[in-house]
Amino acid sequence: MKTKYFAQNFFIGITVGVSLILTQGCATNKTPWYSYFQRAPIRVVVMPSGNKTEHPDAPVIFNKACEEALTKNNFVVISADKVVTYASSRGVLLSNLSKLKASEIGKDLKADMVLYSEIDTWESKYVVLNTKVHVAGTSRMIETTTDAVVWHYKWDFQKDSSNGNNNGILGLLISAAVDAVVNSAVDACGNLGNEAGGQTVNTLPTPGFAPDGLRPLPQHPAG
Amino acid sequence: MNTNSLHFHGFTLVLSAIVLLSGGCATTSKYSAERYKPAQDRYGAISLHTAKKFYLCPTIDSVVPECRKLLDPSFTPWTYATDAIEQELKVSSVNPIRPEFTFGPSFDSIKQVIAEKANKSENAVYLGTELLWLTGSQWTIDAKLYAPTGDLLFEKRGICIVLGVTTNDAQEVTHMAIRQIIADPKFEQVLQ
Repeated sequence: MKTKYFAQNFFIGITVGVSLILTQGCATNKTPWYSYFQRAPIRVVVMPSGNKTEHPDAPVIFNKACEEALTKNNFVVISADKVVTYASSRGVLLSNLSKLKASEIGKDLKADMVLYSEIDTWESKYVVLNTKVHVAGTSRMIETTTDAVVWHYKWDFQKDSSNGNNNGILGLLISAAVDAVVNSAVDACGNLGNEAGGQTVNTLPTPGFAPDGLRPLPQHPAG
Repeated sequence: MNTNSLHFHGFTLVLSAIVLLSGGCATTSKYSAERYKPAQDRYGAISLHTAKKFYLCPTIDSVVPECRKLLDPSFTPWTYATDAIEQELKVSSVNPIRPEFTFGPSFDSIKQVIAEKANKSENAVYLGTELLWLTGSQWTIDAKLYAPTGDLLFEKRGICIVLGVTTNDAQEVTHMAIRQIIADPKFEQVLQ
């Protein structure tokens, strides 16, 4: 009887312990309440990204991913395409556009923020039985009324398509062949770049007020 | 395995989970900042000329617990923030004065105290600020500007988040959050 009681206790201990660890996790996708702007809507200009890579399509993919994620996060987006039109109407070369102050761009395009990005790395390396994809760069959000940096993020995403649980050398070869076909059919960098754009934007403060559930009561050291 | 051993292992697991919950998953070094130096020489001048008396209320320390545990216990966020705002205002040609009366730890309290005690005939403004997050990589601060009647004239949240970027200037984040408040054209308008 006593043994049964202790055994029950032991399993309850395990269950509670494991479920606590699982529910806690290490990261949360919710925007913390202190990362809301407390105003909305916020109009953001997505500047055509600078490109230090040899892939001319990299900025197009990254900008598009940022624009989609910004819209999803309740920003009002002025797309990179519109910025290109704006630049031509002003007679400014795209390469010189980044030299304009955010306040100037914001005034012309009636925007609250300007998002600048620079792509440093956009590459996939095909190694035997493996494909390594790497995209990296930096993004900055500048407030147009004050020219202040609101957010500055160095993004770096890597994906390794090696398969650790194959059954022997034949499995590895089949997997590599499948990877090669898939990678030639769709651009692996493009996929990761698209993911990078979305995840990068998700680290931005969010327009508007935090929902009540995310807004704890202010705490004061004295009280 | 005997019963005592079973009991002990179950207890150990629960204890481990509690330790994980209270400690979080990340290991961090404690943050502390050196005395703030105005940064308008590096990031652009903010000109604020005003004939109004400018009262700067001490910053309300509402640093959230997740942030507080990242701070060095000897570091006092509210004095650092108040001092930083005061210094930036001085560089912008505003001479902030600390009010003689004390406030409670909320904007409601600031508003109430101003409405009760401020000299209504005085051409003045009162700036109240509430600090929510302060580390080397993020600042979140709310600001409200009041008339001597307690009427709200301006409000804004300043946020600056720097992730994964090594900055040469440890004061950049502080400056950018304060800049979003005091360089705002609506803030300047209120001072006219």
